[in-house]
Amino acid sequence: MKPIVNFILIFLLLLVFTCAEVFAQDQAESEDSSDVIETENEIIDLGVIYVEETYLETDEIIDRPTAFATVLDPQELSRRSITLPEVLDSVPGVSVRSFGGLGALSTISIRGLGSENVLVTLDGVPLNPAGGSVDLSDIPLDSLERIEIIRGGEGAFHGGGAVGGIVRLTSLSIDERDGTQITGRISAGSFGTVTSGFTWRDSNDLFHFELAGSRGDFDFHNDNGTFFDTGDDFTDTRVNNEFTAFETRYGHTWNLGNRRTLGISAEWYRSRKGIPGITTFPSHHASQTDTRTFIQGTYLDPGFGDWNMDVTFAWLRQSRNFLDELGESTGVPLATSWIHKRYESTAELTGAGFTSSDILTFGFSIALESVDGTEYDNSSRSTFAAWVRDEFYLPSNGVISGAVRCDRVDGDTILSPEIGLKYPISDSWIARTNFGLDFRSPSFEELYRNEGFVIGNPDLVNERTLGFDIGITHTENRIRFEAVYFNLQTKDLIDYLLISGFRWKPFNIGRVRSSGFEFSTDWVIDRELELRASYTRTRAVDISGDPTHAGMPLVGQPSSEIYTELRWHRNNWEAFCNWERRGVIPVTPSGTRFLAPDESMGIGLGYNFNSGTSLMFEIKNLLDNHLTDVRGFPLPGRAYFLTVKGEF
Amino acid sequence: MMGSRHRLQILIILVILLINGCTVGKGSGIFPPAADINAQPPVSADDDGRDYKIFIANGLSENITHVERTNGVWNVTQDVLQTGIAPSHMVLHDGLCYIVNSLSNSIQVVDPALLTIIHEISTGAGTNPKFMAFVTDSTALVTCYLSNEVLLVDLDSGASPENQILKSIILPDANDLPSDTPDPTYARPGGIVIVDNKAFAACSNLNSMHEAGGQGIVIEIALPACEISSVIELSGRDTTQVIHSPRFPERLIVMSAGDHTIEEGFKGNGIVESIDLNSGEIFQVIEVDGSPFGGEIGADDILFLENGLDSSILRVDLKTGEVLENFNLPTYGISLSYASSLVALPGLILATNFNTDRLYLLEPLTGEVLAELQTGDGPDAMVLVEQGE
Repeated sequence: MKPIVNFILIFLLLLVFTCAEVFAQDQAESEDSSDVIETENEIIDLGVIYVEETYLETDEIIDRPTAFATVLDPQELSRRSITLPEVLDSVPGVSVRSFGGLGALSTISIRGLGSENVLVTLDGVPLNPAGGSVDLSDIPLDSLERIEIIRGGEGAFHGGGAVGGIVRLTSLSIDERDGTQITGRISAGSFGTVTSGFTWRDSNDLFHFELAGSRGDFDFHNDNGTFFDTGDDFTDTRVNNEFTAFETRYGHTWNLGNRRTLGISAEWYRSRKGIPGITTFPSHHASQTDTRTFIQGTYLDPGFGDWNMDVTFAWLRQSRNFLDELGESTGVPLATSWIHKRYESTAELTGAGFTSSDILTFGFSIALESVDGTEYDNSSRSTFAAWVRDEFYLPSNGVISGAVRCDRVDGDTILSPEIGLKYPISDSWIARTNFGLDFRSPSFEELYRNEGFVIGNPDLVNERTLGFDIGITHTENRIRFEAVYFNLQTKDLIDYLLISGFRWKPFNIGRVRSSGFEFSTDWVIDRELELRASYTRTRAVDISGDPTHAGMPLVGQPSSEIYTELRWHRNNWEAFCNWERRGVIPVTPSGTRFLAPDESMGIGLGYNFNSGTSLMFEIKNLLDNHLTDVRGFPLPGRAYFLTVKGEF
Repeated sequence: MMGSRHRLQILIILVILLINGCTVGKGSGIFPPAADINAQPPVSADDDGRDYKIFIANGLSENITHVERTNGVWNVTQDVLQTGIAPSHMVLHDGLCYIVNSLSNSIQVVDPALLTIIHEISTGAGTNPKFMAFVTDSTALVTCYLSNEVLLVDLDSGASPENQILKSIILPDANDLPSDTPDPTYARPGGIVIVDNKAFAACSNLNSMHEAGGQGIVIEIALPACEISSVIELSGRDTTQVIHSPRFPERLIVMSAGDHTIEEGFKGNGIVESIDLNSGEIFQVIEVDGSPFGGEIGADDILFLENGLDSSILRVDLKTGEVLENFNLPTYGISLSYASSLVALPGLILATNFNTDRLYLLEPLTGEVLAELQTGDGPDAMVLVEQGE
């Protein structure tokens, strides 16, 4: 079967490349220059790359030109009532699983690999608590300046954990323009939801705070645990979804002369949320409190000899307190807590390389992490890393990038090499490919957590993943289209086995192959109408050799996802309509049961006042479908929101 | 330019071939070779040659594996029926098969001939039903592990959902349970059996870490009133199962898995105790050097026990109280497996292993593995029907 798949794959790729060339030639001949919208144009100037403003926004990331990436502007998006998990779920190759409404645990997977294989960084510092996964619901969208999603392994650039990909979040920073900028936003709607944010910034200082709250209770379809008997189904109310969150951020930058700057920023975040439990084991009183304190100092010197120097110091503290006084979730009263601390120091030098056409980067970092809590002994990990990467710019605007990073994690040395190519086939077609070896160190949860049902295994070793992707991007006139094939193969995957009675323990027994295609397009139909669409087809299968699991799809990874959004704007009015369809999601490792496909639709209508104020009314889950991302955790039905945002 | 473009295409194709050709492995080596599965077993000398249908509930794949022996030939069909989440017990009664689903809190009523679900009954959110025993043809007692109760459930398909739970029998709480720990303990009921006009439910008596917090107990429930009439304190800890056999009409046999710690797992200090049904006294205590989860009495009054400690079957001669040599099930080196369900037939022992996903056919005198049949993921309960029944 496999050779046939290979041949089909090769045939398709040949077809795509051949068609691409023919199509590009035809386009070049028939191009109407009067209607051309300028597309991506890069200029190399002593190692600094400028991307010109274009009608079609570029998704290329300056320091990762060979990568397949998506760039999002949270400040633009925050004119709507939208959360970070919702934003990320619309990106090709990305799948977000939510356990409920606003504030409920939301995790991300990229290219079929789970949330622990996706690194989420805030201003360059990983938020993943000691190799675990990140709860995206605890990151307010409004406090972000930029979101970059890079699909595919990034171990050579960011170290362990960036196997499926990386989400790079950049927080709000000072406004380098003259004058003061003030932004305020408030959104209110269904389920007693109110979110608000305020930002004040000038060329030296930034102050931001955010307040969000939701009563959260919503109706859902309860099958009463009897999947095949609909006679006892009823409309139930999902309770204990209350969510409150507060975030504040301060930043200051000193100009030290000669373009040197020293900046500090500090963030404090706290949320309290109800944990409603699984529908068959509802927890009406369980709650969780999360806090995050993040302090960072950055020193930038673009004239450090011939080099651009970037030095950062960061201290991150995250904590979680879970309380289930009545024992609703496990049958016994439970009060657990942990504190995760991370100290990280990084220095990086970038400058002209061996020739006049390459950019060389050296860097090293030291990271010290610890987790302490009721279910952990004081566990710690130290990581020393050094890396070098070089980007050769070809005469045809192509790039060859090579990178290798060496991580020394608690005495274990791990190399992560990667090579990438960006090659313009013609003026409008660009081919990219990347090949790399990535790793993920076991999380502290997998190593040390002991909570009765789950027992940690200190003997776990690193997972290793061989990753490859190849794709083409067509950007011409009003349309951009991208098609990507990816293939990731992981060995020593950590998998949980039942060791006795009802106790589970992780072992390095798993092997996984995740492959698929990502298609995305951005089509400016005319000056008032734009269509964005993406389709991701993923086949993430277990190849461990276990007869009942072999060839079976990985639990929780959807087979396909489609996202489309149509945007319209005329004068001061704007509107959008989005539609999302998710394929089946396996819920048993032997591939015997699946969550049915589901779809949702949202619409919105807004008005932008000339004073800088915008108003947006929107309806989510317009058709009021019964949605479930994770078995036993229903999502809210139809919901209405009104958002007001002002920028002065 | 065209030449370099073609070279690029060829390079890309070669890379794809390389990637697809160099898989990271074809198996980890801890799983059994597929060639050994489903080979026909030799027929044991004591085998009565009868034909059987066996239904195996798979806890992780949430489905039923159907095994059939017709004219001495074994056939396996996977995934003949979907269960609820984490099926933990199956009972045959009056021509129907009842499946207890511990995590979806439901009982499925199945026609084993047509392999169709007739109807389902919810035991209620958060109950975690584990085992059931019939009081009448249409009512059963169901032990609920997390809610620490025994429910009297109306299984009749005509009962409205709100009237399906007829009664809840609340089990003793921390104040009334024997305890050797300052932490509160919980009854945590498991197996249940009905003998004449009494029901007996095994209770583990576990602490908040689901470790033994004191001696296990057996709750005696008077029928038809469904009220607790007696509590029998045992020697064993983490009591898991209680059985009754017509071969020993005056005896209740209770199994306790023994102590368990997170660091070391089960200690293997499990105990089998026999209770005189007339006096309520414990008259036989057998230390089995293992952690029995359940069991069945086979030929020559040998009690075969599912060992939760490892992948083996414990054996006890009930007449003499002698502990016999274990029968070991293949582990393929993984050493994490355990025997999860068992049926003792004349001339044949059937046992499932939760982690290797196998049904093993064993010779009852020597323990020789005659054959191994593939099951679904995580086989956890089994019932057997003689064909023609």
